[in-house]
Amino acid sequence: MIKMSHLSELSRRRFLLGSVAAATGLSLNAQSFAKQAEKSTPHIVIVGSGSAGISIANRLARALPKAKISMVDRKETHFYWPGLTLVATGAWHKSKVLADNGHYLPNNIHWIREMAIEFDPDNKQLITDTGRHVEYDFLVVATGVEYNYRAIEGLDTEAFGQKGLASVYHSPDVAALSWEAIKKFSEKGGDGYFTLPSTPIRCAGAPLKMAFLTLDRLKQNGGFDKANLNFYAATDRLFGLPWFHDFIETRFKENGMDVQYRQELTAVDVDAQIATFETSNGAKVTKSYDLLHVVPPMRAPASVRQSNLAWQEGNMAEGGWLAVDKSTLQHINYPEVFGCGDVNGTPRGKTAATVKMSVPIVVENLLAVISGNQPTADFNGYTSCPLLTQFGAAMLIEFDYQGDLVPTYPFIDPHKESWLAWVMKEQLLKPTYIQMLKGNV
Amino acid sequence: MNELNLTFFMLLGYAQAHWFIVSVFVVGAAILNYLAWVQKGAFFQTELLKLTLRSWTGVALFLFLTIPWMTGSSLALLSYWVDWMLLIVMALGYAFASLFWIYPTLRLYEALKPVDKK
Repeated sequence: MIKMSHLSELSRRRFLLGSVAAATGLSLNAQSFAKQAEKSTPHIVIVGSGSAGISIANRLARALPKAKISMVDRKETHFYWPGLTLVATGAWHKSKVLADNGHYLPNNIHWIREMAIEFDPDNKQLITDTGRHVEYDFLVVATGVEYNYRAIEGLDTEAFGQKGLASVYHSPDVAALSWEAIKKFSEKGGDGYFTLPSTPIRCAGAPLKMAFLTLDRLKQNGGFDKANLNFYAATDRLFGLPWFHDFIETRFKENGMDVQYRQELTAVDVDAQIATFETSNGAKVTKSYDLLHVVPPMRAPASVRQSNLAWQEGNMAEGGWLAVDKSTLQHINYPEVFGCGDVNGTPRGKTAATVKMSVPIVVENLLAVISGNQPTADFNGYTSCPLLTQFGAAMLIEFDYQGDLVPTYPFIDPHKESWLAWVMKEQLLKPTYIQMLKGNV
Repeated sequence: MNELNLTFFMLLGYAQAHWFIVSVFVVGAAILNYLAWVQKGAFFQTELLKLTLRSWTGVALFLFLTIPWMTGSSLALLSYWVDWMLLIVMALGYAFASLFWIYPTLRLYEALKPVDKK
């Protein structure tokens, strides 16, 4: 929070400039770079029309009206991913998480309704699934993640919603079908399993929220006393920050949930309703289930994973995540390439909150490079998880690369469950997300 | 600045998301106040103001008790001081907004009711 003593040190001019910067969505540095670059006409290609891609498109279109900006993505429908936990637990109808991409893209953008299947950064071009070669001067990779359900042997994604099979991640349709499975389980009880894979995942809080909200539904619908609940994580903890890990584990155990670590879901027999987990020493354990909430392993999309843009070594290489500098979000080998959103091979944060905070960084640094300067903005790794602990209460946890808590509103204690955090998640975050898409937040 | 910017766009976005309700409220308030204004006699009347104040208290109390439920939560889950502050601000704020309908409605009722009931 700004201390009054610091505020008083600001000159009136600087304060007014700051206000203008906030209103235009560009920092003072970004405005300076945009002014330097305003006469240039680079071709900027943005790959991916998710939250990061659209938000960057809007900011760039305002900053560089003479630039040619292209968006490569076939998807017409926009998914509000942060709302899927509420769809999969029956709080929202799926229509609430669907929108039209065209509605949020700036008018002066060239929208190539094709999918990028290959990147050729040495020749500054990409190839789409129709064979088109798209050349660029600058590239923003915002392709998101690939859900690798195929890594789980026997898992048929068409079976979600049936025979106790659920997954919040696949799509809004599957989230809605998952609610059918969870609703039935919450009434009848039985053996319930929640999984967490070993790979980096989008919104790492979502599997926890699904477990918490299913617990609440069990209590509401009468199935709690007949349920045997289990959380099988392939990781060695439930949450990246120790205090919150302890809190969640304790809360799960208080509700009779068995928590196991280093157990990776490797196979599912959908008809027999049997899940196979593999422990870290290679042993296999089979469990019959009445509800199985599947969180798929995730990786970068093949177009990135199989290109020179991916990390070639280190712990991000296996998933083929985009090799960007974690501070500037600029590619480590190709200075004209930037990454934003879930595809980035950075230590933490594959959330919409990370997108919200990193988009201005990417835009400022991209403008710097376009205007012949070095990137100046540093991303601190901000991510946020409104951890829903039950219907009506949540914890607003915001932290950075270091794992330090960085609350936007210092008067809200992240360690406390609050109705305010629930109101923010359920009522205010989607309107804020839309403002982010427009490039305002 | 960051939190102020976020709060502003959060509330702007919320208002835009509920544009129909906001529009009905604003247009309705404008019409009611105009109609109340053009009636004979002073616009502000002591007795009506007292009645409006009582109505405002009732609305605020009603909202205080029901807003958590309306947001999918319950009063029982409010255990943190910021929750109570938010609830008080929301209840008083929405109740204040309701005055723009309540007072002109009472004023119109007073002005238009049959003479034998005055």
